Amino acid sequence: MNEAELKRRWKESLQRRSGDAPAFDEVWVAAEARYLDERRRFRRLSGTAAALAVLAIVIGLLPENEPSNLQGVEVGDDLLSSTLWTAPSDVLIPRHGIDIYQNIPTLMESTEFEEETLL
Amino acid sequence: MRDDDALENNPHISRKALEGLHSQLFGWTLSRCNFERAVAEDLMQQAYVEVLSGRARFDNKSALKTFLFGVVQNLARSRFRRLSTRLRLLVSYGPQEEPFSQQPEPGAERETRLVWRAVAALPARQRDITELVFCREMTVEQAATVMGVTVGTARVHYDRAKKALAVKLAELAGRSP
Repeated sequence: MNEAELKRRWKESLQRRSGDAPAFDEVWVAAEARYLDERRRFRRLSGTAAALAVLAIVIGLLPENEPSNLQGVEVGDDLLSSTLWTAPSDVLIPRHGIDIYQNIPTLMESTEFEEETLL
Repeated sequence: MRDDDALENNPHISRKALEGLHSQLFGWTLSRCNFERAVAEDLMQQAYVEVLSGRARFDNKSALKTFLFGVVQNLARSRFRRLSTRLRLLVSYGPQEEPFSQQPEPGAERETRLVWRAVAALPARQRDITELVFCREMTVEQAATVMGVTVGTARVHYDRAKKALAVKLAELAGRSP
């Protein structure tokens, strides 16, 4: 059997088994209906997911009520001063005559010029 | 140029073009489903849904026929894999290859029956590629695209299939009364 004969018989066999195809319009309409159904389901799912997400955000943003049964502790000055701590090496730090953070030192101003520069 | 009935999600495909290929596509789909008509009709519908939705998008770089045959091939393959997995879970040993109807068509001529038996004896890949070239008017390159293999691989399968068919037909003709 040559190749042409083989092809012919194979095709013939396939055509016998396949029969007629269903009408295109029927299959197409069914496919369109299925596609629209899929889209509707997807939109419903997306809507539900979006609603849940918004709900989660709203719940998350709600202010937390401060518990009213907490007892505050007032720390007195005596207690604060009793806990003052200094490092042993603080004695090495020089004590200045001025408080560097409170007194702004003034710069000495000169009225003499040296090579056109104010000293 | 865009047809008036071009699909929204696949502008390079028109309904008219699909209608023109419908019959050939059904034949290929049936062949993928072991000639179970109801399964094939469902798979065809699914293929059209993929095209309508744009999940299978045609870029107009190949023939529309090649593209559609490829969509059906991929859907059939996924479907078979899912069924195979379920069978394996239920039965422990699932089918290793896609099923193919071994039974020759009753009432067919002797030579036609011999051809069918020789074709059924081919490994699946060789059979599929050769069917596309012999019976579906495709080139080896187009068959390679449909099957998702390289052109080189498709050529090897095609050549081996032709040789195997020649040997098998000679064997069957010698045995058969």
